[in-house]
Amino acid sequence: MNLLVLRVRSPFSQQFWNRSYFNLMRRELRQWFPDRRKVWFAILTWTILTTLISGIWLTSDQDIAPPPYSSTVAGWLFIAAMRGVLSLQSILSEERLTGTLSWILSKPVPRSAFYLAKLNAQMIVAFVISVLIQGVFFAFTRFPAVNLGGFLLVIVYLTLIVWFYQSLTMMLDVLTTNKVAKLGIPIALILIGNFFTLLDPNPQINGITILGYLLPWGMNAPLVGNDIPNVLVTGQPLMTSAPVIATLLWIFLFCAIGIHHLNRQEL
Amino acid sequence: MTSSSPLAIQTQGLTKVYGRKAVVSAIDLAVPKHSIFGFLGQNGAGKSTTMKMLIGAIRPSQGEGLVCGHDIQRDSLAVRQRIGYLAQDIRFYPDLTPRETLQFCANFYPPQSGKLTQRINEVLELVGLRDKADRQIQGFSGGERQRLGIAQACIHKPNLVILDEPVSALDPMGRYDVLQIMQNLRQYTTIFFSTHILSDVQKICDRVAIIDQGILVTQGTIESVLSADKGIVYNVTTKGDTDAVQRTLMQQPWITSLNTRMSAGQLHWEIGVTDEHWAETRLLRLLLQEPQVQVSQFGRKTYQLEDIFVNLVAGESR
Repeated sequence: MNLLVLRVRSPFSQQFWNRSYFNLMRRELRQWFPDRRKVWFAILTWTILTTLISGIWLTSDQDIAPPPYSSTVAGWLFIAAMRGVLSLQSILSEERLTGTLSWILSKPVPRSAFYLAKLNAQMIVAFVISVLIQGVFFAFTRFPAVNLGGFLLVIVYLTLIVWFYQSLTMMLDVLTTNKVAKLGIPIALILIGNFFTLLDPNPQINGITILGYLLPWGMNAPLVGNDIPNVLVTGQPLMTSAPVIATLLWIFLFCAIGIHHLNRQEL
Repeated sequence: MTSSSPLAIQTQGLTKVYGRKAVVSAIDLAVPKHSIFGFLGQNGAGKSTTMKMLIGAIRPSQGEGLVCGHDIQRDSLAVRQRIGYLAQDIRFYPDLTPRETLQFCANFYPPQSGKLTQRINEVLELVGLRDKADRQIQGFSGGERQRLGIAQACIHKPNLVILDEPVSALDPMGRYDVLQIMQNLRQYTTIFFSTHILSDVQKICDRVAIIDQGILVTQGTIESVLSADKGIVYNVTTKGDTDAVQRTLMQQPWITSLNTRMSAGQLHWEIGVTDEHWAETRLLRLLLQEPQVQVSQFGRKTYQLEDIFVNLVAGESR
C-alpha cells in the first residue's frame, strides 16, 4: 500500500515561519547586544576605529586634493563594509561545523527563516553600529556644513552598500567552504569600489562605466556622476539612482541563491 | 490534525544512496505509538542516516515515510513540530544557560496551555538539571549535555522522541541516569532510539529493529526477536556414561537438535525441541533412565540480545 494514502496533510503555516524568524532574530541580536555595557563598548570601538581610519585616509590623500569629505566617507564606508563582511564570513558554516545548525533545523524551522533571521539581524547590527552612529558622530563634528536631508539620504545609501556586501558574503558562506573565496571576493569588491572613489569626476573609461550602473560602487564613485559627499553637503539626491536599484536587486538575488542552496543542503 | 494510525513511524522502502553506495536500503520500519523502540546496529550501519531522513535533515533517494502521520518529505515542518530529536553529538549555544536554551527551543513551537516557566521547571526536574538551570552550558559534562538534549527534545510535549545514540558516549552512571529518564518519559510519548549497547535495549525496550550495512535484518517485540529462528533449546549438564542416553534422545521425534560439549569432566548438552510441554514432561525422565547418568543442571536456554545480534549481523556479513 502506498503510504501517502495514509498521510495527514498539513499546509504551510506562516506562523511557523514568523515564530522561527523572530525567535532566531532575537537570539542573534542578543549576541550583539547582550547588555548595555557591551552595546556601549561595541559603539565606542567602531567609532574610534572608523574615525581613526577615515582621518588617516584624509591625511594621506592630501597630495591628490580630494573633494570635501570624500576620503572621510570612503574610509567610513570601507570600515563599515569590512566589518559587515568579517562578521558574516562564517556565520552559517560555523554553525554547521559546531552542529548547532542541525540542532536548530531539527525544530520546525523553515531554512529560509533561519537564513533571513541571521542575515537581517546582522544587517540591523551593521546599520546601528557602523552606519547610523558613525553618521551621527560624523554629522555632529561637521555641523553646520552638513545638510540634514542629505545626511539621511547618505545613511540610506551607505546602509544599502553595506547590506550588499553582507548579503554577498552570507551567500558565499553557503555556497563554498573555501575561506579565500568567502573573504576574497567581497574584500576585492570593496577595495575596487574604494579605488573608483579616487578617480576624477566623470572619467571616460570604456566598459568600466557600465559597472557604475550595475554595482553599488556607482553610488559613491564618479563613474556615473554620483558622489555621496556631495549629497551630504547639498542635500540633493544622487544624479542617477540606477546603482541604488541595482544594489537592491543584487541583495534580493544573493538572498534567493543563498536560501535555495541552503534548502538543498543535507545536514 | 493528528493521525489515527497506531504507528508513530512507518516507512516503506526508505533508501539513501551516496554515489553508488546504498547507506540505507529499502527499510520498512513500523514503530507503534507509546512504545520504546530500540534501533540497533553497529557504527556506520545506517542508524543516524535513517533518523535524519525521518526528521527531514536529509532527503531519501527512494521510498517514503510517515512520522506521526505526516509525510517526511512533503510535511517535514509538521513532522518536526510533533517530534523531539536528540542528535548523536548535540551542541548548544554555549553562552546560554539550560533555562535559556529551553526557553529558546520552546519558542519554536505553538504556545501551550499553562505557563512556559512551569513547563521548563518540570522538564529540568525530569532530567535532573534543576540545580544547574542557570549556569552557562559551556562547562557542562557529556552526561549533563545529553540530559539537556533530552530536555530540549521534550519541552513541547512531543508525540514522538527520536534519540540518536543517547547513551553511547556516557560513563555507566550517566548511562543509568539517561535510561531512567527514558523510562520516565515512556508514559507520555513514544521513544525511538538508536544504540549499539545491547544490554540497554534489552532493559528498557518493548520492540527492536536491527540494521546491518543499511539493511533491516529484523524487527519486532523483544521476545519475538529473541526467540526467532532459534526454537526452544534446553541446556543440560551431566556426569557419567551418556552414550545410551544419547542414542535414546536421538530417536525422539520431538528433539530437533543435539549438541554436546565436554568441559571440566562434565558433559554440556544443548537440546533443541519442537514442543516445550514434551520437553518439560519427558526430557529429564529420559535422561535419568540410565542409572549411570547424573544430571547436575537442567533448564531452558535464555537468549541474550547480544547472541541474536551477533548471529544476525555475522550471518548477514558472511
